[in-house]
Amino acid sequence: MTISTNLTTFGGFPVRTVEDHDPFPEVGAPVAWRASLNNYRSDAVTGTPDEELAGWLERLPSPETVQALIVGEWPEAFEEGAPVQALVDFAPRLPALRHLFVGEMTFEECEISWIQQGDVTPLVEAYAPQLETLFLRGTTELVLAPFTAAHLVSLGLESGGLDTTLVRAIADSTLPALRSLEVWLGTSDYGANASDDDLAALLSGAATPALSHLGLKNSDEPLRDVTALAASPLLPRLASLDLSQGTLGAECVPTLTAGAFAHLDRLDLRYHYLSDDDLTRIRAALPTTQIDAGDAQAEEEWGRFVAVGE
Amino acid sequence: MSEPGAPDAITIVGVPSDRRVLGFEDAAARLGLATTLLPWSDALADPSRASGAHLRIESPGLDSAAADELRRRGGHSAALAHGEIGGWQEWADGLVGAVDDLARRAASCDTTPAELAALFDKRRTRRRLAALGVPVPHDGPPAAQVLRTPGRWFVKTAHGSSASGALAVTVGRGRVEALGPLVLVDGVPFNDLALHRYRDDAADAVLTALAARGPLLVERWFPKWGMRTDDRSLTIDLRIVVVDQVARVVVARGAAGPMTNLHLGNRRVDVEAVRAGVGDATWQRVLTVAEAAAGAFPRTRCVGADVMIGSEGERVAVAEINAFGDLLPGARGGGRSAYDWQVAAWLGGPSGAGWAT
Repeated sequence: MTISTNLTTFGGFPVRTVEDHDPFPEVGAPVAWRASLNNYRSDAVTGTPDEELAGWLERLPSPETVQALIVGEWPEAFEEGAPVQALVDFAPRLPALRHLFVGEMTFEECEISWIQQGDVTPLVEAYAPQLETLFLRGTTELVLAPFTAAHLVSLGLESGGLDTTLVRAIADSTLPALRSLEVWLGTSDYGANASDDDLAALLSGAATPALSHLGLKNSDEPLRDVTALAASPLLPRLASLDLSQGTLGAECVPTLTAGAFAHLDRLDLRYHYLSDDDLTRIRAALPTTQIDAGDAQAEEEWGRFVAVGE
Repeated sequence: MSEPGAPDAITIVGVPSDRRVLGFEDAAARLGLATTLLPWSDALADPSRASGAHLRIESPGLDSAAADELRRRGGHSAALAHGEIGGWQEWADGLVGAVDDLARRAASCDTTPAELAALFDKRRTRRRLAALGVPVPHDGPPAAQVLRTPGRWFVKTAHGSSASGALAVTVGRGRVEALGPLVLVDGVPFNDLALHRYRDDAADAVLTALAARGPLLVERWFPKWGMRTDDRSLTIDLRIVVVDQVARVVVARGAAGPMTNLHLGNRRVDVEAVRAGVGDATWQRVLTVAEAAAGAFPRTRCVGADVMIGSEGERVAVAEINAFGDLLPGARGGGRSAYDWQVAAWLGGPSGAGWAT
């Protein structure tokens, strides 16, 4: 599953995209506004990502009422870093913002490993006190220091290859209200290098006392992941676990069926390399768990691939 | 039965037992159009067999001996291994010359050598479309500079079938990646069913190898619209069969990567779901653009137009026009197959709307 579609809802609001220098339409009810700034599509888009997003934000109708915001494409996103400064500068005018997604681009708009991020620490500091949802797509050049977010309920880092410092940054953060954490570990081809220590720190649950849903997705080290999970203080507290989009296969079955996962209400295994027999054994060992196991993959002679490696 | 002035019988120039030929013959038999088959091997040996006939030109694809002969006539004499990328310009030149030999003797032909020549060369197709104002992806840099030009590019062989030798390239931040359904074997490019990713020096090697095989065309990568279906998230494009300048059959293809051609193991998706997803306004733009593109080849009765929808679900652009783009098993438009529509056109005009709106 490469990312081929944009979100249609975010934060519970329908998404409305406003492209380039187009006017904002009248809307009868609150929406999640989405910025899409593409210098290939429009000759009018000539500024830097910060300049263009700043201009777009200036045109937001009633910014003091905006609760959800998505930053999709920005100009030359495969080369230019995310428009963090524009968002930081505008923060005082978005007091009602609760849901923020930066980098919400499809594979066709910009492949995930090519999305250039940057130091988002100022962004997080500016918005952390008020956000309930924060998603970042693309972790190339991403710098994130440990942070405190008292009201953050849902956090997601979507990546083709997650650097271990980012795993550690979340592990060292203070997220007392976080109920859902989604981390795409990715593949070493694209920089995935999570150390056992950093992963253990994340799975200690110390940063996330209220966590009930964890996604360790798009990972090409699934055995390492399930082994670490099985030994973790966090797993018993989870109601829902998402191990989808990675290379999870038969080698993970013994760990998955040894007991530590049987309490889960939900287990997402979509996009996997398990056989029907593997799935039968997993379902038998987790009889009260709702298991989603669609999109089975067949291993070819060139091996297994994560769903979003690029 | 036939309208006054319609031909009594059609001579299909094709390959016996090819499902293209069988599909047309089946539709013709059902709808009351007499056909006779002139095998490509015979047509090449003796073009006088086309004298006085009304010709339907089918692809010689399955007849490897005919394909070799056509390539030889076009100036390519070396043998090609299965899947090896090469000889496409020569194949096209040979085929255009052969069709010329046949058409000049025939009573009528469903295409012309000039239009076929343009259809086989993506660069010439683009120029014709652009001249008519049909939206196509923007030009990219010359192929020799593509890896040094920051941006996202689609590199295609100027000749050759869809997705053969196509590469989606991203250049930026001191790094280059090329993604495409091809592999290098001892430095020779071959088609492959899987998408392979090449970086930096490997990308350079692939592009160099491809450039050695024939001219390349570079476009700006047009980001395509996608759709969720079942558990998958797929990029969508559309193949529209246009008969006598009217869009008749539409097939939607979905892919997990930037190339949606079905032979890459990608899949058909439900056309109505795509239409519902993008809305009627965009859908109409798709059909209008396909018909406008066919208008660039006014003396070719049937073309297959590959139309892309932009990622925001509104813009459309033509990716490619196919001379033999009507092999779509099971696909229907207005209850009829692409072959049905073409037979109806030969019989003097179908009744009813093309694509039911």
